[in-house]
Amino acid sequence: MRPLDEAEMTQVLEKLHKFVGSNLKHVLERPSHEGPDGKGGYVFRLHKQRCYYVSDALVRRATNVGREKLFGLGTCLGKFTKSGKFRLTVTCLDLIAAHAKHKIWLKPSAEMSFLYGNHVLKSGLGRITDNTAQYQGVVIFSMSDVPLGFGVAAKSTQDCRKLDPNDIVALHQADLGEYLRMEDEL
Amino acid sequence: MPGVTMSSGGKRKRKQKGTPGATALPPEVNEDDLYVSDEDLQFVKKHAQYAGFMANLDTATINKAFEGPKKEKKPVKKVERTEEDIESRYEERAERNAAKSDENVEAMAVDEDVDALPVKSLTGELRYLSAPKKPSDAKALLEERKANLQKANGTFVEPPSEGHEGVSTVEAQPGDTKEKKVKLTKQERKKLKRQERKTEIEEKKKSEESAAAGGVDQDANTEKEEVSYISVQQRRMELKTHMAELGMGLLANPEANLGTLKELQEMCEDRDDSVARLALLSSMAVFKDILPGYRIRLPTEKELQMVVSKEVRKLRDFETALLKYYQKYVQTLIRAAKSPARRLASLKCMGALLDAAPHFNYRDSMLKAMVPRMMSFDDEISNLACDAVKSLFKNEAKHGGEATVEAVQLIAELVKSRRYRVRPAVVEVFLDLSFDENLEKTSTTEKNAEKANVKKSKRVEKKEKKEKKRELAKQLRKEVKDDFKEASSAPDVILRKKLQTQTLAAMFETYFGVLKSSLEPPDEKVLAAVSREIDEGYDTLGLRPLLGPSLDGLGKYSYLINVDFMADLLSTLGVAAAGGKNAETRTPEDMLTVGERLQCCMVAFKIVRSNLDALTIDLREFYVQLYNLLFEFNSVRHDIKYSKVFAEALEVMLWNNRQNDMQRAAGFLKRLSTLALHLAPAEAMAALVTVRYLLQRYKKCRNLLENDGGGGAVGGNLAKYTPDGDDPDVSGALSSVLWDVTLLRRHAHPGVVKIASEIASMSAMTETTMLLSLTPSNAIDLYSTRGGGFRPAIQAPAKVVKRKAFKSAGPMSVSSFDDLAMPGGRINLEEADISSIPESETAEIGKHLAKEFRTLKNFKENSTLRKELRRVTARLELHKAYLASKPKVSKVSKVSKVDKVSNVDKALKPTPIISKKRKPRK
Repeated sequence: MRPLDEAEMTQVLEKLHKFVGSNLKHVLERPSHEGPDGKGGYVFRLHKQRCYYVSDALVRRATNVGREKLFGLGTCLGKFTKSGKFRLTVTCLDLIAAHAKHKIWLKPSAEMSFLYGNHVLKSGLGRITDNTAQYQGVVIFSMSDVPLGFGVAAKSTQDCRKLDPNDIVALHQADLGEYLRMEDEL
Repeated sequence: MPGVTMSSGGKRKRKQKGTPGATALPPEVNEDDLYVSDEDLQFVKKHAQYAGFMANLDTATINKAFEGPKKEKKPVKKVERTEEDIESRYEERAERNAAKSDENVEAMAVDEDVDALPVKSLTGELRYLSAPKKPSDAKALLEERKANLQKANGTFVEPPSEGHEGVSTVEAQPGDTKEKKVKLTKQERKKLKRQERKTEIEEKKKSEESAAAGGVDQDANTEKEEVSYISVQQRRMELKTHMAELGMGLLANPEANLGTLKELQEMCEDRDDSVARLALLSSMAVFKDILPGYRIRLPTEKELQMVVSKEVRKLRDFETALLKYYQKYVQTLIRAAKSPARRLASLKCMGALLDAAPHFNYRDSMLKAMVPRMMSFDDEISNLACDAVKSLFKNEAKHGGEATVEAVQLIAELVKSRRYRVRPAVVEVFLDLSFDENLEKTSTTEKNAEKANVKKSKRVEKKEKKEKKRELAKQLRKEVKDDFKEASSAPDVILRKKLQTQTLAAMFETYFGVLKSSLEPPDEKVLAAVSREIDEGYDTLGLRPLLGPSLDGLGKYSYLINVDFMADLLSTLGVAAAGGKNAETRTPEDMLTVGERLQCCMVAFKIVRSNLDALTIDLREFYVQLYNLLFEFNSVRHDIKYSKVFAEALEVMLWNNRQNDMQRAAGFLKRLSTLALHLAPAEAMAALVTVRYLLQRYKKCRNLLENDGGGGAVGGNLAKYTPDGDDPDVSGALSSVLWDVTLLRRHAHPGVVKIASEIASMSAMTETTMLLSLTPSNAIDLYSTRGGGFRPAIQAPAKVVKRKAFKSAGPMSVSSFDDLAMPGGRINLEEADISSIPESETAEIGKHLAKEFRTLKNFKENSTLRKELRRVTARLELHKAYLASKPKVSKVSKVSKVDKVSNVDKALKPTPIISKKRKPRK
């Protein structure tokens, strides 16, 4: 377990920025109420190629556990691949959903398809945030505002108007179904 | 005695000379009288002694009286006055004589005498009205009556009164014209008439000139002015009646009397403003009625050469003439609109004509004159012009929409050239436009049909040849049918669609221009340039006079905005809602006001909603703007319109939109309730009603009502509420508490108190109890105190009424059975019966009833006790049976013996006993 170096940090923040935009500030400056004094914030920690978002207090306590024995701590944001790239995993969904700038809401009929790992089609699009650019990171919600996953907008909001019902609106990156499908990888 | 005969003849002659002018004898007098026949000579010779007096006649005075004006070729004013006196005196005498001789004239002459009273001029001098004036008026009346009669008969001859009137007006003027007239009388009658009309016009001009001259240098021509004053008054009266006559004639038979329009038109250009105004208005009335219901197209050269029937030629001639007159009239109107004295009348005329005959020729030139007047700072003028344009928009059926296009394009150009700084009324007229949605729809359905056809044909290709042929044939037949249908009705639709598109383009161009221009801070140089052109009143416009009406218009016609424009429009609105470009660096005065920004947000929502079928979009940006604007909103210093914008914004964005997520709803909830603390009661009500509504819809948000900070699981990742945050989504309001509501329960306003307590008790409430159908706008309307007074009105303190003891109820309440459960209603019913019965009897009845009820009560108690007894015995029975089935265990039997000893009270709780018994065994 160690803090991220600069290159890693930029990678992580860039990825997060895609989804939360200027709300990244809120993510970084979020106060934590854990620990004896109830003050402190959250930090990023790297452990076993994974990036964790942890409160200060928890980091201090986790130092008591050996590196081999420590499985994980805090919220896992994603992992660094062998080639050194950073990928967000579904575990970070709660964090980015709370701060997301651009959202897509799915019709109930399209929820299941998305949770099986498919892309979002125009026919399943319930609602979309205005001014979403192409390749902008979007968080995907059900109509009752439950975050289902996240992905990348395949088309801008304007282009979405003219799409056919079978065209892809958002590309799938992660969804809640992965907790079942890829249980051991997480 | 030739001299005598001559004199007698001369007298007659003179009389006749004088009569048309001085006494206005009827024109029927024959010209033949002028020459003296032999018989006459003989007659005179025979009665020479009787005619002798004629030789003694004072010819000098008579001549002077008659020919006096003739001698004064260059009249001196002072002489003229005496002249007039003499004249009038003489005329009176002459008339009296004439009355004796001619019975026909008699009545009239008497009338004249009565009517011709002296008039006091402004300077206080007595002045005799030139006697012939009145007779001419009387005659005009007579003629009018005659004319009316003729009209009734259907044929109208050009009124001969004109001649008379001409004469009379000439007569009214002293000096050289009279001389002319006298010369003319020697000529033929008809010629005279014609000439006189000319002289009349000349005369008018002269009098106008004199009036004008008098206006310029009063000192020089005071006397002249006096004369002109009287004559101007009279002239006005006369011309008024004349106009009326002309108008009547024209209306009765436009074909025959079209020529008289010329006369009216001459009057329109009269120097006298009031005459000109009257003439303008009366010609307007005439044209309004006689203009045909179609646009006149002048025949081409070729058409003129063709041989046509008499009727067609007649109609053609009439149309050409009418058009010519109308053109001239319109030109006069446009010219008149430039002079300050006639502007109003001419604008009224143009407005009425545009309203009545927008289809007719020269509409465009009138519009061109009218539209710039819309931005006049004179309210009356601008209202007139705006009303005229509005009526064009409303009565599109009259002109088929062409005038609308012209008007809208003109307005658009005008507004643009003024850099969007004109009166709001100019753009507000657009709100009266009406667009046919069906036109758009038909086009889209056609397109769809085409698409379907294409698809079909694709499919057809795959099929076999035979089928293909058959299908093609079928399709062909269908196409032919469709073509036929289109040919019969399509051109109109296509044309209308084209016009509508043009109108829309011009209108939206204006709106977008206004919007874009309002984004940037006003450029002082440009403003100065524009304001130099326009005059005072410019400063009253404010910075963005057109933004409000433009936003209204955009909201209203949002369903007509092309989807392609939407993106640009929304982003522009977004910038506007944020307060314009570079909002941070701009001063608060420069920035758009809160009301305008709220309106921008609203319009964005309206646009998106009206294009829902395209895509449902979450306008996050505008929610953020609204969230921030709520803090800046302060209703105290503004009028009710401002509050209405607030209410409408709440309705449009928070009520009608079903697409809020919970975090956002919570953010708005919290902010609105905080806001309600410092708003005026009406606005606070609007805010609280919204809060209640949001709480109703987002059940999870009712967590805010729990006294439990941190929000728990619902709060999610946002554990702390940031009250001054910019974004409702990340405000963390779910982890706060709606403590504001508690404060609001102590509000001064009863309505606020009520709704606040309702909200506070909401968490426990069911949905149905809080269904008060109150919307934010309703709330503003109901509770605003701008009109004065309290809303709701303060209730007068309740009077303390001493309750009278109800005597007859006395024995009832004393009686012992009143504690028995008895419904109150029943008692009341019985009271009525009982009160009629004497007291001793009631007491007895009471006793009896008490007995009865006691026994009934006993019965009930008894039965319940019995039931319990039965149950207990049954249990015991069961227990015994159980004990009997397990004989060996002695311990149990001991216990059971103990149990048996314990009496019925313990048996009342059988289950614990059984469980006790089982436990020890295990």
